[in-house]
Amino acid sequence: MAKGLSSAVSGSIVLGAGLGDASCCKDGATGNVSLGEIEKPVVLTTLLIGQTGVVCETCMDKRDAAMLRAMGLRPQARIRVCRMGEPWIVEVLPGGAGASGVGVGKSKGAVADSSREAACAPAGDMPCARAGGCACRIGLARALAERVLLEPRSIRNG
Amino acid sequence: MPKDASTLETVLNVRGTSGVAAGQDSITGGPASAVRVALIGNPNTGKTTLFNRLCGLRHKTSNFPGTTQEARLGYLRSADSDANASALELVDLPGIYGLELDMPEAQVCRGVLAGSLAPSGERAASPDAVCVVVDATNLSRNLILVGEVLRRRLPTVVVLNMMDLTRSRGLSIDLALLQELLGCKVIPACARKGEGLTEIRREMVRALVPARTVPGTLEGLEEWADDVYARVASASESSVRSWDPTDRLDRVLTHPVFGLAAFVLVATGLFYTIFAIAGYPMGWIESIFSFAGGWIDEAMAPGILREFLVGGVIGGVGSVVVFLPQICLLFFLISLLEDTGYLARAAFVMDRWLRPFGLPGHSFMPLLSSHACALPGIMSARGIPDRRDRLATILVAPFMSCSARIPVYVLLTGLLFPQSPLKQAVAFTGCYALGVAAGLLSALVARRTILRGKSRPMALELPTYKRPSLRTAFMSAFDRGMIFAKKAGTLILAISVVLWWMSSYPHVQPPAKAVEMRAQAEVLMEQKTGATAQEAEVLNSEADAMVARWNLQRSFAGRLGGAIQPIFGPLGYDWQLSIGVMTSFAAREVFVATMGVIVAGSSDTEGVGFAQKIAEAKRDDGVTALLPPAVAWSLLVYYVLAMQCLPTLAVTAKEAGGAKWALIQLAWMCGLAYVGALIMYQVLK
Repeated sequence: MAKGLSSAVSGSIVLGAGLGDASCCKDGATGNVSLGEIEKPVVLTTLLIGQTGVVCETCMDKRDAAMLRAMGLRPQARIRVCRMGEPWIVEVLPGGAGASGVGVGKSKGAVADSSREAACAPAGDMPCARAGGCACRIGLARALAERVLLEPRSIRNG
Repeated sequence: MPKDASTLETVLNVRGTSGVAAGQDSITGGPASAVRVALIGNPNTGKTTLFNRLCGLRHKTSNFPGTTQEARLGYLRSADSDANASALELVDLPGIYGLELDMPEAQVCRGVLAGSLAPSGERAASPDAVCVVVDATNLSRNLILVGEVLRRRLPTVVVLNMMDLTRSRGLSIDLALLQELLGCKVIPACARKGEGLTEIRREMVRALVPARTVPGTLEGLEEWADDVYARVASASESSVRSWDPTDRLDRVLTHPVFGLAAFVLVATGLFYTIFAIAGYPMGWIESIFSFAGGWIDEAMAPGILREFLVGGVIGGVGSVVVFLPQICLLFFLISLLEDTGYLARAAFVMDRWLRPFGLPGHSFMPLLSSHACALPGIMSARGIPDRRDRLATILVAPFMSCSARIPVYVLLTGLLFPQSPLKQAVAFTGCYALGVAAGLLSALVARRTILRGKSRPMALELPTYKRPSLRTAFMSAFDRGMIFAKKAGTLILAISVVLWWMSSYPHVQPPAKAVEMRAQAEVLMEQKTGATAQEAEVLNSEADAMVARWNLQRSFAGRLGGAIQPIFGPLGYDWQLSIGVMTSFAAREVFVATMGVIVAGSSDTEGVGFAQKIAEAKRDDGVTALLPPAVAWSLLVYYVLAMQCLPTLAVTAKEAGGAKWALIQLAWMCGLAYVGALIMYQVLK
């Protein structure tokens, strides 16, 4: 399931690769967000409040990268931008996009949907992806936020 | 395939070949044979709240040898109503995001789980069980740490904490399926409300080696965690909330202007509350010590023992213990703030302000901790990844106003503004602000001279806003209060006794004038009229004060004060204050005890409060106030800036990797303090 998502990402970025390798930022990333379609990875700081995306990689010192990864900002993690500026606040949504993401049933206790489509659905469709839901929040200094590459997933919906 | 809990338990018991249950007979009994359980979890999972709930006051605080990490060891029984209840020893490990991280906290956790590390004074052995505390509202990420623990093949139980929040958000977790997938017992709990505690106590001794194998690589573990989460978690549409205040609160509380304004408001409110409330218990404590001193004075015959007890022990310790309510209240309020989730936001607010001074946002927590005590603050600076950032933080941490300064601040601000708690609070906040400003400027100087280089950017989890736990706050206040009380009962007591001896010996003949005044008083008393009796009393009081000052001036302490007074003379300090400054080099709060022994004992204001005695104390000429406003301000500045703590210097040398850093810290801080106090006195006098 994890590999399935990689086909959706163009450019030279390989999901999960190059974590902590500063050279990986040189290719593939773009500062332009093309809303509504999946294109090249962009840096986190180009997303607007409420927009969601899937983390491709982090390009920073290995210890910083390992720490962010342990905090939840790892390849294929789905995030939502909560605040722009210093600090950048993102919400890491539960379940990786590449793995079987939790789906939301029509009623309480509904069985989780493990399809990739559900996992990659815009955060606005997922109850626990909303602010205050089951996500965790991470504050990032701009210098770190500029080194997180991700694939935008939704237009502004916050 | 989900299974019910009993079926799973049966399966696990059949599968388990080792674990605590197998050796239960041998582990029941006293603490020596207690079952050791390691409590581990991500930060902000309510681990400390659970520890406090389980152990209450039955715990002690130490550290892990060879490390700077604090270790809390708690004691409890496996089940209250069970006749076969086992003694449990709970080791509270530092909160970590991953066991394999290259961080000091993770190293401690790895060491404890491997059996190579234990809290000071305890046997080093693998824990009998591991209890992983998981935030149920953030299960996906927490499962990775669970997986890392399961890989250790130790008897494990998982506590799903914050289940109340999970329910309120319309999220549900299939516990039976989760147990099945993890291969260990999963207990739903809400530590804040005390839910699930009995089951946790019971299951800790029944923990078994997990019946499942988790992937060995990080990528595999992440996929496994996602997969487990997807299978066990579900949400209802009712969990969709149209409006949530978190985003808006975050935007305000981390805003460059509003965030700072909120921080200043919170800090001022915190200190004002301390002043407004703590005054009552402080008065009670003062009365108790005053009563005890008076009682001993009446009950015992005059002699060295009575002088020792009243002047040395009660006078010295009492004048420091009186500040215990303020210290407890400060930590109580800080704990409440931390629990609300606000402090993490404040860290980012401060990051914006720290960065221009060459300090990373990571420095905020060590610097904040230094407001309690520089020792844990400096020690916690180990978590700062960059060496230069770390060194800069260590060097400036003692500028932050620690709890040892509180008695001095309270005394001096009380003298400056005796009738206005608001002005006291503002002055008090000003002391803290001056310390912070001096620390930041010093950091900037250090980063531009001896520690050139770039700072590392900050990343921090922002915990959910929630109602704080009063119990946790009480425990925090109790812990810190005990630490302070122990210090008062050991180091401060010893210094008080030495000071009492120095200020009481050698005994010298009273001055001739005093002898003459007492003789006159005796004659007046023999006349037995109301007016003459009153006159005699005044004469006796004046004679007593004269004798006390005479004795002190000729005591060992007086001679020492006279020798060093020229150094502090330009700051406005006489020999009495000079002694206070010198003796408090070991620990700042000793200044108050010194004043208690040297000054208050020499004044003629018996029956009034300690602060008033200090306020009314005179210098050798018997006319000039000991602490006029200019001198009080000068002392205040001196104590904000000076390095007056020997243990801090020792820890700096250890943590920074050399004595030269401690010497730099000492020279810089004392130099700055001297210049600052000199300017303050010369301007105000």
